[in-house]
Amino acid sequence: MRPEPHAAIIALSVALLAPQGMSAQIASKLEAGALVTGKDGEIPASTMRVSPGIRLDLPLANISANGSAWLEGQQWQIADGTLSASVFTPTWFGVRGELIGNASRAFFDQSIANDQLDAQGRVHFLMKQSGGIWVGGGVARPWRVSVVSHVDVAGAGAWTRFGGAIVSGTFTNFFFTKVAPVGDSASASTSCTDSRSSLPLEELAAEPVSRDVGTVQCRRYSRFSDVEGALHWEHGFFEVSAQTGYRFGTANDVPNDSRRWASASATLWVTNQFAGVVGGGRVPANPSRGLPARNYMNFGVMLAYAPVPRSSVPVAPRVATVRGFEVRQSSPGMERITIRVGGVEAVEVMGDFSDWGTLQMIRRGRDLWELVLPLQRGTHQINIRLDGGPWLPPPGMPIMKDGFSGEVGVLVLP
Amino acid sequence: MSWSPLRTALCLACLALPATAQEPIVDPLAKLDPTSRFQVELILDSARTLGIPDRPLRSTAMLGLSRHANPRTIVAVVRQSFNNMRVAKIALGNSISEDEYAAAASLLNAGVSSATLTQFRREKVAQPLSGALIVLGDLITRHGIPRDEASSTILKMWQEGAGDADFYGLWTRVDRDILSGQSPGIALQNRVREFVPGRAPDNVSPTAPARPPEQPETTSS
Repeated sequence: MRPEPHAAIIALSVALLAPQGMSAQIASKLEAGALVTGKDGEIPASTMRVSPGIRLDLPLANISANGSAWLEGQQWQIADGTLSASVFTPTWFGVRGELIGNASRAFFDQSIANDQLDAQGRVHFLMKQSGGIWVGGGVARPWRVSVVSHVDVAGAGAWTRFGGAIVSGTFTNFFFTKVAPVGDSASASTSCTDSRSSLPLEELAAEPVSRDVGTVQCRRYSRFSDVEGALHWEHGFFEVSAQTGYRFGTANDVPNDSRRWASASATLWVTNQFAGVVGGGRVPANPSRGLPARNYMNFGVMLAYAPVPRSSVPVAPRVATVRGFEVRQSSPGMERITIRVGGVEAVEVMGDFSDWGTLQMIRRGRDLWELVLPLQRGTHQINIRLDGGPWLPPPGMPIMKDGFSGEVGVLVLP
Repeated sequence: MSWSPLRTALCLACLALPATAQEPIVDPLAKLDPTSRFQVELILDSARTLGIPDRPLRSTAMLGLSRHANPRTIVAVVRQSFNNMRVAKIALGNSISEDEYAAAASLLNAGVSSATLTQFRREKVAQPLSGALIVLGDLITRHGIPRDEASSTILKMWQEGAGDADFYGLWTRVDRDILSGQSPGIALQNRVREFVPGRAPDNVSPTAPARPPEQPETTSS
């Protein structure tokens, strides 16, 4: 029986928007709009698409789930889904380790649908808050594709801030064994079989019969490398992301339609939780998943309590400016601390009211963070921290030297 | 039974719940080594004996722990704060509040002399003091206004009857002027001239201008 995913998609979408009041660690988004895709030489097809995403942030780990579904005829068809988990080590002298695991399903059309499990390890070298580099590697295991081995992945990347933008560059090497026609002679084959016979080709070679090369398939090593650059720029309510890349490899491993690619998207935030999105470009083929190269264009809206980052390269703290800090009475004896800061993934607060223990603030919008605390009248010492960076006094309040070569803000509650 | 996206969402939501659970209450000073902890406890006991609030001192020790400071440094900073608070008690009298103790100790740490502090000894118990001390400390430590100039200016305002709200309002305007390029000393003198004794201040505090209560999140009728 074919599953009826539309009810589940609607339920998931509602669920993703609901948990915001439950925990500080959950961020989610929901994108909906039109998607136009097309392969070279084909007429583009357009459809409606819904893409929910959710992420759970813990101090040294995060778990995320993303997916998309499109309207096929009268039915919603699940297009893809990814469940990811990352575990970090604490940063020690600017070095941080990361283990990443992903489970994903890709569905391009009725003939291309497959699953993959992959795991990677990375070591990040952070240069204060201005940039960093990482090196790493891992393996992936796809199913229901012509790849018959696991896929070895090795890569390195670097990122830095350039003006108001974050620029990153990555180099990724893919190595795997695939099933290819015998005509693919550019790479070394490990073994060949005739599809009409179960015997290996070496044994068949002794038989005095001619064979149709079209029926012979070989296992061949395949290798290619991607160099990709990405840019993310935010200014006020406007965000732009762009990426471009080039694929190195032999003609047998890299078809012409996947040599180079580029794409871009722009997001205009109307409110903290509502944005218009437009984007387009070209996506290269993913040989290990059997996905073809294609062009796309999308436009729609995003309902977001928090946008889920598209790139995991800048895992280090970004330099961000706190645009607003406010404390207002929430209820008798309770104060609501509000911080406005964009481009960060975590905001923490501590002070004499918490015995200088760290309290994680709750994300209430794209750049809005809140925490309700029981605070007594009088003065309190307080510090805030963005993305695990240094503890600093909040803006808009007097400061005191703390005796430990630092400063604390003096919060006055009259 | 297939694994639905809804179940995935519910599982993720459940995973988040333990992160919000209360952690067991442990005395943070237990993180200090026994010798340092004993020394800190001795200082806290001495403070209580002298009628000096020990909460700011304990808070200082906890701040040091959160900063991962060396235990010896923590003991030294707590001891210095205690000594400053003793000086503050002598300079300002016995009627000062816990907040005023902390502000005065910080001011002494910033290099203000005990003789200057003594000038803030109030004659009327009701006259607020913490705003003057906090703003004075900020003007000296952050904006680098010479101690004598800042002290005499703030002292004059305070003697003319300025309250906490006047000082926080002054701080806000001076800070804004400095950010717009004025020299700190000139910004302070210009803004002090605007102070009119007896006039209601514009702002109550730098971070909570009017502090209106928010609408309750849930209503019970």
